[in-house]
Amino acid sequence: MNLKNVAAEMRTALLTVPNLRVPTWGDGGAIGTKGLALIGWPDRVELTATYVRGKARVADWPIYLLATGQNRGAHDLIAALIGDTAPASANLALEAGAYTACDFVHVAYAEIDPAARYQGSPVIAAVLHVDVNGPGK
Amino acid sequence: MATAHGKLTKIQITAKDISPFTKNSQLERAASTHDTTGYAPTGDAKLFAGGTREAKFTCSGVYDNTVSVGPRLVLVGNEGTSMAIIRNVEGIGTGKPNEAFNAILEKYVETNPHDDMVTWSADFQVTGPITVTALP
Repeated sequence: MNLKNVAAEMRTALLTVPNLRVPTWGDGGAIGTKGLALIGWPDRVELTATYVRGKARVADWPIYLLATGQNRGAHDLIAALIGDTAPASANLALEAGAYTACDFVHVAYAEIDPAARYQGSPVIAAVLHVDVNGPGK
Repeated sequence: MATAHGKLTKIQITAKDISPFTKNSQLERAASTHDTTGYAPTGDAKLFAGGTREAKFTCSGVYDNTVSVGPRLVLVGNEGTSMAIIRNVEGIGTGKPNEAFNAILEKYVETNPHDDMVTWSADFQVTGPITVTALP
């Protein structure tokens, strides 16, 4: 399992969400009127999840969802991004993605920081914590 | 003397390699004992004689439906059936131990937690001897 390929497929899944800009993994960029999704680095990759390196597992891969400002529009945007209604929900989009670089993507939970800062500006941030399982070797 | 890492372990059931789906396995060998103590034993210590041997084999791992040799396809429907198992405790290589035995599948379990991968486990009762050889 190559993290770059998994990140690319997660980006493709996130791009189906309206009002969300998703740079290629490793790129940044300013937040516009849309929300910004940044795919981070996972804490840990289990390279030998089964015998003979048959499976690999990525635990707790963070995806940062950012909305600029501390206003009502930013509140609404973040709430929709971690909500239960497609196509505005980033977690539903991620889990509905078509994956060939891994077996499945599971959004375990969302963590919210209402007073975060990005590039010097106040933002509301939600962090999706994602588990990925896929082939080893 | 050298230790061995579990990641190298290879398990084949009916000639199908389920190792890439297996996270843990255990072969438990045992024997019955018989009390042969008579009157006035020396040192008031009981005496025993060794009896017949038996073994249990268990294995478990992550469910996978994409490969024809996945544990579900190998095991489901074979409960109560004797299956040929080969266990390579140190993996594959010249001189490494090879254990071959027949075992009856007593239990096959699939577990579906809501927030994690589907897992499986299987319990076997070994029937007959365990044949230990060295790989060529």
